[in-house]
Amino acid sequence: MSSGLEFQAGLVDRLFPFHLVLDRDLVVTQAGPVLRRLMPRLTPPVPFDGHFAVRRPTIALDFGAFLGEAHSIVMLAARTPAELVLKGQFVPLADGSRMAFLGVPWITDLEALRRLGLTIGDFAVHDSIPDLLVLIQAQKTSLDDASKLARQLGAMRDAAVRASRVKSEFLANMSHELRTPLNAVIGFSEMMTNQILGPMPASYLTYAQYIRSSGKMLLDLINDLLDLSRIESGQYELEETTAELQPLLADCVRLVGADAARKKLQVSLDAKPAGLTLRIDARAIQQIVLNLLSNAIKFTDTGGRIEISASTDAAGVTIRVADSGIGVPREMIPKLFEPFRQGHAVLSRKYGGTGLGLSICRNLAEMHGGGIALDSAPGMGTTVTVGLPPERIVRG
Amino acid sequence: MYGLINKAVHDLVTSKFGEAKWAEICQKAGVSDPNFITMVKYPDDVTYRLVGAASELLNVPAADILEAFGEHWTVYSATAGFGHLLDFAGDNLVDFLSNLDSMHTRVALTFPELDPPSFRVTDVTADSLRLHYYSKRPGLTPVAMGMVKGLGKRFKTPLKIRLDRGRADGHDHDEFIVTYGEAARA
Repeated sequence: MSSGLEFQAGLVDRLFPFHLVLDRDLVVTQAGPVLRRLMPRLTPPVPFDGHFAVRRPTIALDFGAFLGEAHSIVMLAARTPAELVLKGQFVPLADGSRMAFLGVPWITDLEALRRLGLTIGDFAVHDSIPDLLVLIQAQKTSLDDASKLARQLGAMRDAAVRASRVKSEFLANMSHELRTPLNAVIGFSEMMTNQILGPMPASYLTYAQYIRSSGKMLLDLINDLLDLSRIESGQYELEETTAELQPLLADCVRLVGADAARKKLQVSLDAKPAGLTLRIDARAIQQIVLNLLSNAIKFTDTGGRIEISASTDAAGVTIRVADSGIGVPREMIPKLFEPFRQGHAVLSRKYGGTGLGLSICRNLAEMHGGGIALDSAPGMGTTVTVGLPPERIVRG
Repeated sequence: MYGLINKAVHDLVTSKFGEAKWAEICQKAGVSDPNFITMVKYPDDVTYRLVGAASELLNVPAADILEAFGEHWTVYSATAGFGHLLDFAGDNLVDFLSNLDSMHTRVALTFPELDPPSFRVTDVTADSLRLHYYSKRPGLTPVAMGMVKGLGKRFKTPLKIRLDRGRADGHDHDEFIVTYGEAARA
């Protein structure tokens, strides 16, 4: 039955500019105009195998074998130019004594277009090869963009890491250089405050007290900076030992006792279970607790309450410092753990402090495999919880 | 428009005025992230704002900037990885312009959001042709003129182009008369 698909003369060349027609002896009797331009020696009639090899599928060089592949995709490789590969299919023609090969150049390398001398007008409108080439080019460009961006990001990251390291080293060096003369300032102002060499006029005594308290504040800041820079530059290493938690906490309470008494604060300690022993850097944990207690004292008004407790459960160890102080708004809480942040600029001026303490606490807790959380609301006090993983428990 | 266009604007500005001026233009245009990705689609408004800011800061009429951009586009797109596709569209001015619409249609098939303009060539003689330019985007007539001038340089073909009639006159598209070869030298 006829399909009724009959082309006008000349239309086949436009629809299939790379086609071939073969007779029973596999002689090329007709070739598409663009194919003839690419292969100047392809001047019908010429033997098929003098100009082409069937690259896929593997079949005999035989008219019947070719027609037997009428439903297969076929790859023909031109002998010259060797770069030209056609993909298409064999199609029997109505008279039964001839067949056509309807195909197009298979090109995935855009450079090959130039080498073969092909332009968009050489392809039939229905041919998708030009679309494929547009897509390939776009993907190649996108990949080039992505690699360029990745290189830029990598360079920026390296620069940032370098800058951070230089900053930390600078801070560590500067802190060390500043601490040495400060010790002299604090030591001698303390001698003056205690009037060791004899009585001083009242105003001089006040000045000496200012020098001493300012010197101490500066030393605290420098120590915090030194700790933070050591942590950030990876130079802070935990010195882990086995330590009993309750005496450690009790020491902390004792150390802040004078400050708490000055503000008539009630400080209670409840650490369970008795004898709870941990593998920790005792100095670092003490630094965390002292910092939290110092904050609690600083931000709790006279006559207030501070509770420090410790407990264990399946999640590990929890150390909690709770106060009845001024508290902070919830939206400020995440910022409190960023270096140089305090709840409020006004608070910072009123209460002093470096704004580094909580950041250091978080880093030290995390170095122990634990974490820190803060819960607070204005006027409702603040509770800071330090968690340590169960692996830290040696006994208890 | 795709990032490629904005990157070409960036390339045009920095090649003549430097990165500092480009940063200034981006700031004035309210473009906070000027790191355009070639195949990412950006609102047309971004490009218009960049051109507007460039016109103001460089004290050059917007039409002149657009024409310079069109001329630069043929050079930039070739160096930005699309040289082979330009070769694919033809190796002489007339073939290239005649194939340009097919190329844009192929591109539009692959990237439906690109919405490229349409070009038709009629009345081809040995030394002139009529170029029809259809675009949904307003105000880009100078870009098309600049692009044709850029193609003249690409194919080392002296040419002249003039707007015969256009959208500004209420026509639905622009029509240019392109004269080339010896006729353009006259």
